[in-house]
Amino acid sequence: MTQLSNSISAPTNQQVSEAIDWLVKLETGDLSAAEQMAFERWQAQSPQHQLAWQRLGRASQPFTQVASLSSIQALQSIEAAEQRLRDKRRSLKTLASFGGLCMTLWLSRDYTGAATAGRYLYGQALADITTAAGEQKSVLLDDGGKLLLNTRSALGIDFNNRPQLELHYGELAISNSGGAQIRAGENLFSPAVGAEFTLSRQDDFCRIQVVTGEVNCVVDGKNELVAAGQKLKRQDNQTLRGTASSTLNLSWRDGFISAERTPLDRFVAQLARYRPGYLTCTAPVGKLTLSGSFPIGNTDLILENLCQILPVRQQRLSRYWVRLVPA
Amino acid sequence: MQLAQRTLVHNLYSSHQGWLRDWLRKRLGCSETAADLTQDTFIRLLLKDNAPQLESPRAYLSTIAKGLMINHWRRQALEQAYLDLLAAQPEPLLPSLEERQLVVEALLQLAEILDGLTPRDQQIFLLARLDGLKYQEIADQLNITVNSVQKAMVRATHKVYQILYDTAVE
Repeated sequence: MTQLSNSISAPTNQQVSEAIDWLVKLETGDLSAAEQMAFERWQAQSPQHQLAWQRLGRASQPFTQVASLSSIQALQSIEAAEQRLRDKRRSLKTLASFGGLCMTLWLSRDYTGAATAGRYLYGQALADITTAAGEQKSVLLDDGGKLLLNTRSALGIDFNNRPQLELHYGELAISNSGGAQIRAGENLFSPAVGAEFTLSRQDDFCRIQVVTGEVNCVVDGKNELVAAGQKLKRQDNQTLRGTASSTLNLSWRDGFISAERTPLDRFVAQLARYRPGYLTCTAPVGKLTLSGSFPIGNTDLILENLCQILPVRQQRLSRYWVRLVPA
Repeated sequence: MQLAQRTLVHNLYSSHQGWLRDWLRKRLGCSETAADLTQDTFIRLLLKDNAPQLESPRAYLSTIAKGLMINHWRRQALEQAYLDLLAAQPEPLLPSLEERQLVVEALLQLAEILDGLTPRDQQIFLLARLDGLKYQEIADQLNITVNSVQKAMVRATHKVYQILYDTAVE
């Protein structure tokens, strides 16, 4: 393991036991002068003795990395993890039979927030195209349609049987549609040839907004035709129709995030999708409103801007943890 | 490392790595992780002081891979438990990704050390190495003799040494 061990044979079990006895004596802290000398003699006996002692230095290191945790918290974390592991092993057989399902789903290093991480990663595991926070990808579809996939999205593409896309999570825009259907959970969208629209699927809602042409939607088992300038939203088991009077949900296609007398909490929730880590604002400033367009390429700059135009300031624990609070 | 052994591992790699990756992918359902753990399995093999003579290489490889797979899940479960703990704090803090990884690695190592120790030994080890208490303070807190603390620390340190340096046991 170490360079030393290549040239010196490993300490015997006996030598390791002796070294551990000395370590514990030293740590107890009541060594007499005679014992101190005995310890030095022991160490000088052979290179293996020294190696054993040197290795114990590493084996007796304090766990400074977890200094923020008390021993009780550390134990609790470990026990909670072991319980989870037992559950996982128990469900292993059941899950394996589904094939392709990524078991690492809910527990990823790419942790971006309890509310969204699960479904986002779920989609990511199954999808053909995914985007990270702040990333956009454009794709020319086999049917001639132009597709743009927004930040933190996951899309499945199947042109083998009947043309179909599946939006697992996130947001897409299609222009000059060739008619490929899009599934988003239980909802199915069939655009007319040439249609232009955006479709968004988040944890708590699904929304389509049509710019040109029309899209036939099957939502909650019912057919709904959405024409240019209209939008349709499915949320809390309700289907809501509206006119798409503003460009609010469209400007991301040009790289902007827009606000029109938008409450800060809603704006921050939008902005958070473009940024890795945790971003939120406290309740007192959440009701402040703002208007404007901001380039989404640099979310740090947008946060600085917000602090200039609104009476708020940033509380930053790290790049991955930002909260807007009253200035 | 002996040349003969390196050749042996190399041969194992070329004959069985595809099979092992499939084996892992079926269980993990995730091809990237499966590829990572396949590499890790052969690296483990290379690091061993003396590779055993293999009569059924696939059974042997899958035993190592199974251990790595469980470790992989344990790491994720620990990370989740740690994030849950952070979220439950009255003043939630979110350390950077790097800090979190360090904590999770440390917790992983702790879990391995504590596994197999008695609850009392676990408690003593944590009070010493994590809370930084002196043996006398631990004895006072748990109302036991310093001698009992010493004995527990001897057992726990043997365990740590074995994890860090004993490559013979898998």
